[in-house]
Amino acid sequence: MFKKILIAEDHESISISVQKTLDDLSISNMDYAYYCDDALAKVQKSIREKDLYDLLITDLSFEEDHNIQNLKDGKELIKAIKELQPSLKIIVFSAEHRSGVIDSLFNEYGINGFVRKARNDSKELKKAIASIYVDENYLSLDLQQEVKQLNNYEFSNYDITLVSLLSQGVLQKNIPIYLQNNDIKPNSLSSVEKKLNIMKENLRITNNEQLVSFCKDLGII
Amino acid sequence: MKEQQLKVSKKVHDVVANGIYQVMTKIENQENFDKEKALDELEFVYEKSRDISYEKPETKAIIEFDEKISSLIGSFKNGDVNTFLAGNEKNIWSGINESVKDNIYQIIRELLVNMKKHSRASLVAFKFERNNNMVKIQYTDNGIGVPGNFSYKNGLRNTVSRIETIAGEIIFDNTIEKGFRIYISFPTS
Repeated sequence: MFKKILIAEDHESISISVQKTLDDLSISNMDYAYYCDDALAKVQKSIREKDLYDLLITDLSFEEDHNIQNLKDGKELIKAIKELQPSLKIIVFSAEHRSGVIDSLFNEYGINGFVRKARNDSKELKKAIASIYVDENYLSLDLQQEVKQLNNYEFSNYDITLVSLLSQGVLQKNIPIYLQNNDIKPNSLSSVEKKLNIMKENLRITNNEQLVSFCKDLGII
Repeated sequence: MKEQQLKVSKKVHDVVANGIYQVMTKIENQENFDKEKALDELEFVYEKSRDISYEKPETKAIIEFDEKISSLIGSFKNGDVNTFLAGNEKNIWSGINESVKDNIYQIIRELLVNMKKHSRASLVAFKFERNNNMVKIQYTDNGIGVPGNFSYKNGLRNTVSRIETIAGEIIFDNTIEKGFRIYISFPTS
């Protein structure tokens, strides 16, 4: 699991509840910042001390107060941090709901997860952390419909590889070996299973045979 | 200065014109496209267009081509038509000339318009591949297919001439069991 997490959130009570959520995941090494500049400083310090954060959870909007900030909001913070430490995983935790804005966070700002502040957000946050830990981007459930469903499904080259292997008769449990031999990542059985399940869910079909025949009919493999 | 103007006008075209066009297609193609949703979409275009005027000169074009393709195809999805993409990744389009990309965008749009008018398809898929110096695009739908004596009428005649412009090739395949398949290929430079 993630070892060292930074929380950037200006509302104290929300910050505390995020910390509580992390506690539930047995993550104890976390820092928090109420201001964007402060968050950036903490990242700079972690780089100097060679003790990097591996996850940032940040809000988008920060209220202005007497402490004048260089970085005015979460987007600016993300941009600045990405320049310093491109590998840092980022979850945006915000009340934002406009699909266009969220879309651009993934596409332009390179965030890894988005959880909307809403009912059940603590559960969603846990799911987001778990997904991102296995290198899967995460969008909270109530938003998936809106943003991800631009098309019914977009097969990545990785998806195509998985379905092609199935169509060649490779058993699902043997797929990781093939992936490892060809240096394709992620190659654990759980990530393969997860990906296949996502495809099947999106196509509303139940088994691998149907998945293969669907992809054949549409010329995807 | 001139170059800068060109860049800005390209961005206006890419961001504003395409953005508005996509909202229009969605309103046209998607039943139940409500006021709220139209507003959200327009707000998004509005924000993007506002960004252009604030932008520093050196920042890159705002929308990547793969995203444009994805939202173009997605704008034809509605209650009856399901859209799928495969292999539409950034590296497919890297280093390809802007005017070629514009042609490709229009070609895909024309195929989709044609699909909507004639095919009665419920599933539509585009697959993108790149190897060596060729990009291959494969269009498949599960509609009524085309008659054996099919000739390129109107809509697709444009498509064919666009393909010629980019030195590409188009093959209509009506031999698949059900539906219609088109293979397009063109050189990357």
